[in-house]
Amino acid sequence: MRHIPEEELHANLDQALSRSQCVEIESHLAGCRRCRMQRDDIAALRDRTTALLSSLGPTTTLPPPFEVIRARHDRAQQLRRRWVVAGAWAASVVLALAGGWGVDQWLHGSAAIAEARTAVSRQPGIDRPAGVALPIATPSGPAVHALVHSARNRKAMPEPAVAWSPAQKAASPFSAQAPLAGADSSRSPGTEPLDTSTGEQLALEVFSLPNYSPLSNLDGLWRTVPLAYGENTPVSQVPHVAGLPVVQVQVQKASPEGEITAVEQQLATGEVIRTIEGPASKVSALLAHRDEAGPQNGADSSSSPQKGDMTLTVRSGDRMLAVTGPSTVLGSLMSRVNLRRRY
Amino acid sequence: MTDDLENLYRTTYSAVVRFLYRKVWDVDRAQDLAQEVFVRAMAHRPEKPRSWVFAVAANLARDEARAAVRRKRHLTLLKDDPVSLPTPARSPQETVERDERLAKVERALAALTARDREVLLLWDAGMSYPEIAAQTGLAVGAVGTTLARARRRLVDAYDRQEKQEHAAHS
Repeated sequence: MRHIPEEELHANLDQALSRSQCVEIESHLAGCRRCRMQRDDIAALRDRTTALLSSLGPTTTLPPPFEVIRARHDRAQQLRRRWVVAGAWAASVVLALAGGWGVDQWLHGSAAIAEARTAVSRQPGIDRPAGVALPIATPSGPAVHALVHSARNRKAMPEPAVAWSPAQKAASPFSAQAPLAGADSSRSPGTEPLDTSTGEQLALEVFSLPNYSPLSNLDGLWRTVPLAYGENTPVSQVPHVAGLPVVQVQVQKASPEGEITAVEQQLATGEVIRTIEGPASKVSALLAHRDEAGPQNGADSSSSPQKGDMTLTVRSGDRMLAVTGPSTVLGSLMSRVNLRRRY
Repeated sequence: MTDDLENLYRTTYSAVVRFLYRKVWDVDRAQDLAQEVFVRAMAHRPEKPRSWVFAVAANLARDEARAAVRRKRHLTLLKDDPVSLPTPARSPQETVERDERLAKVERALAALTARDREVLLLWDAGMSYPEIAAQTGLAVGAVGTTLARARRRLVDAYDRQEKQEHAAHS
């Protein structure tokens, strides 16, 4: 006759066996003293284990009301949603910046940047840089803010009528003015073909920019450079948010690490977005300092960082790119994300 | 569904806390993790909530242990449980003896292999053989074997310490 293995006795005591197995074991035990003794030993072992373990843990713990769990769950969900929204928002901004950068590289060659509100039209067949603009809602309607890139042949291009130097800036940065034309019109008055030799036709419309006041609240010695920033470093290679008119490019020599550039671009509402690029340590120090300086810094009140300013930074190696602007503007993207999620 | 979960919460919360406590050795942490387990259950709506709850508890405890190692925090045996039901007042002598006994049980538990310990704790938390099998990846038939070995080793390890203590005293 087969004796009952130890593990089966455990399982039997733990009520983990089928009814038929139980019957089989019980009938064996009835006639086998040795297995009965072993069963009793195992029962004692089992009880001791339970006793030892129960001496360990907290005694009976009263569960807090289930509402506690429910509230925690709700909070976790909210937090999760916020992360998703923030993630999507950051991703789209990064995408927009990267896109703008990429398109600038693609358009390589020298570039002219219209610092006024411009509209770009191109001949069919040539792709417009798509998705490069921060899709910022402007109250003034669907006017297109675009960066005007010149064609590849610079010589053939007349000097941009709107390029301005620091000297000009002191007076009125936007002396060149044209009547506000319909945004959809590529052939409106004031339209001037920039380049015809390369087969691309760029039309430039110049408008006045209201409410612009140059920002001057960045620490250190800055050199304001002409928009067409020299032969070696065309503005197209300076990071900026594509699709917005550039109003000022400033450069600071930041010893061995290289230089920092600050590009200011203005929205139709008059608000300014600034893109700062340079060695990470310098840029972050700059940002930190600017935040400390606060609104009392600078004579022009409108040039000080607003309370609602927001900074977004992207770091790659020892370089850092920071985009600052009013949170209402940068945030408009976020609200779009929200909207999409809601529907 | 929510009612099901609520019922499960009422009936198993204490067991989950106990299960977690034996892994994290901190009553507050164990309770916090237990609540987290049920919060996650609310979000996931698992089909088999009971085994799911213990599986997630085991995972959280594992993460917690890793984090604890990273923080190089020493695990300390908590003297008393402030939130559990009132424990009878003890004399200092009794408290010392009790603490020594707890430390011995903890060491005995630590002497088991990870798998033996897991199976034993899951069983003690009230899980059935099939549930333990599903969670640990063992065959149902192997649960009994593992449990038999774990029980024997736990008691042996505990008794060995007692004996050593007696030998040291005499």
